[in-house]
Amino acid sequence: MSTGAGMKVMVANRGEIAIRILRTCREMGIPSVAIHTDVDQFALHIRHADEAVMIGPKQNYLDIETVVQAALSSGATAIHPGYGFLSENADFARAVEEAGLTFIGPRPETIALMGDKLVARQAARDAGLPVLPGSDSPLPMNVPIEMAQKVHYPVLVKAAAGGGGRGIRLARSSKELAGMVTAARQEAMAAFGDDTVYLESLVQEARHIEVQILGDGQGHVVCLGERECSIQRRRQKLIEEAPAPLISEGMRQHLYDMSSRLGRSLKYRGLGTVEFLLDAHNQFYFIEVNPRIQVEHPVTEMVTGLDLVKEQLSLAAGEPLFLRQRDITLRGHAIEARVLAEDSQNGFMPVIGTITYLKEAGGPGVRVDSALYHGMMVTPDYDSLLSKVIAWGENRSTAIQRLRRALSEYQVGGIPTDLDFLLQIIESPDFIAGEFTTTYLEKFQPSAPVHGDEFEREMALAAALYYQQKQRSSTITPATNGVGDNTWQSTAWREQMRGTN
Amino acid sequence: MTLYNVAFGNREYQVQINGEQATVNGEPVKATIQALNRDGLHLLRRGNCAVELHLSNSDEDTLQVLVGGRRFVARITNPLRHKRTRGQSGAPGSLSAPMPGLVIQTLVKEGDVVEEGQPLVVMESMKMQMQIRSTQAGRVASIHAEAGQQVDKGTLLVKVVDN
Repeated sequence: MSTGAGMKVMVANRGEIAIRILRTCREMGIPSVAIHTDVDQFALHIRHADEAVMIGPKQNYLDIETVVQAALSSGATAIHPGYGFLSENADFARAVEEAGLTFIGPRPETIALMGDKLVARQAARDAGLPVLPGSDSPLPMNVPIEMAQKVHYPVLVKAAAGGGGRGIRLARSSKELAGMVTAARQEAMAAFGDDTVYLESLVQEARHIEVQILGDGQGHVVCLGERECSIQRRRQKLIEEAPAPLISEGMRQHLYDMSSRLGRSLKYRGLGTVEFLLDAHNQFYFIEVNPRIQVEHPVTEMVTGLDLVKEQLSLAAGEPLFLRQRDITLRGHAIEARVLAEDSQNGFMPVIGTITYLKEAGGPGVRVDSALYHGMMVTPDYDSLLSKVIAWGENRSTAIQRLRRALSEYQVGGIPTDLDFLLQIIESPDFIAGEFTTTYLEKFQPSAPVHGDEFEREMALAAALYYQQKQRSSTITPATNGVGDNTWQSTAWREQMRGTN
Repeated sequence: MTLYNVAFGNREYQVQINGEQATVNGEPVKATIQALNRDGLHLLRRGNCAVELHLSNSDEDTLQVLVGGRRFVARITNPLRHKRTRGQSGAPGSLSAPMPGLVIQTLVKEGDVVEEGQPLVVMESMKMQMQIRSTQAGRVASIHAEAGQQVDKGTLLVKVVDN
């Protein structure tokens, strides 16, 4: 019998990650179900599933009862939550199990434990991991002045229910603290429905490094390498890579030891990510555990050769975890860049519109995980991630060269994106040298002008030629132009004639 | 001979086309474009180089150029044929929603004196919070949005007038 026989998987997500998961279901021959809201009725992900269930208005990806009901009505036996939405919601995981379905992820109690960042800090400390100095209990509604004065600034105000960089504010002085606490509470309430916040020291010039773990739920845990995710804007990761550049083998081993120790102490089940900060003195600090598949998981897949979703599905199907740490070898280097519906030339404002042209990147060592299609409407209802471009090379510089080539092949029409900004980052000398921290983009100045003069002159000419042809062809009637009734052919024909002169 | 003004943002180029000869800002450039299909795919040929472009009009004098992972938006005018008639998109000092979304908070009240760049309204869209900042120094004349209100793109939020 093949893995997953008798299983039917519903993916409780949308966008590129839903497609990613559904693709593995197809490969494994596992019947699949997609869900979609009314605004997503034409979304690409539903075409990768055997069945698609409409779940109502746009906010329903977050509605536990609706999502579980969709699974039951479609006869699904398991739910994959993807990332975001309900993926880190312990109540959801519990509701799925109570409905007699398999939750593809950690046990609900592990999610609850890791979901409360204050509790997670304690669990990490108990497992012997270093944590950042901070408040060990929630902040009171109104921060007393004496307390604000005792804090070392700058300090981070963080949502206890946080994750994905949301609900975090930086306070530089006691004067700023109250305002930042209010702002963090507001964002936390909107994002997680819980406005508990706490304080944590800010590490200046830190790098964000995380370890991918996979556990069988019985105490066997393997580390599938680390990822470097320091290139961030507004605490959202933009470029991620595996392995982390510029860390020694000894540091790497230490990182894996800490991560598997924490995983074992939790009897961790499924995929998870242990996140760390690495300070300027090469000291690691535990930040949090993300109990789900991550946006940046493809870089790990590229260097380990594993299909992480397949590992998740096999575990969920009741297979033992055959992988041993000695089986894991990392080969080469992989880098991922996130293509966002954000206008990099206009303050990274989120943008909406219709995709009027699309040409995705390809070629050796390139993978594109995308939810885009020509004609798609980008709406303001969900987050701005459109697609991810991942490049693999035998070493870091080859991976950078490939990513640069891939990004310059990628064409998205109709809306501005961050593609040109991504190119500028990976072409910058500090990025190429691997020397950057989480604040890199705050100070980032592209070394070259956005568009070279020469190049732009040619584009100006192309635009003018196009405009001239358009005006000319609109004055010629189909009956007299001699090459049939379409202006496209006539334009091409005229150009060819011109070329032979 | 035809003359065009092509602008990418605030950078303007004067393109003169005279049969086979073309100049950009007075310098000769030899290139032709050919349509590859009827959906806007073109080949720019210059000497032995062939560059793929995607060209499409979003309105009569706005052209989107896609090339090499980059996207340019060109404003094209043909000064001999028609004059630019386009006015400013909004009155100065009027701040409208750049995106459909939710108003989280208004940070000022009517009559407040504000500086250029000062945040006036906090909005949320695509799960991101953003600050709508004043484009000028002045005084808040009127506020048209309140916290919790869902607004469309272009909805007037705040009006700032000279102090």
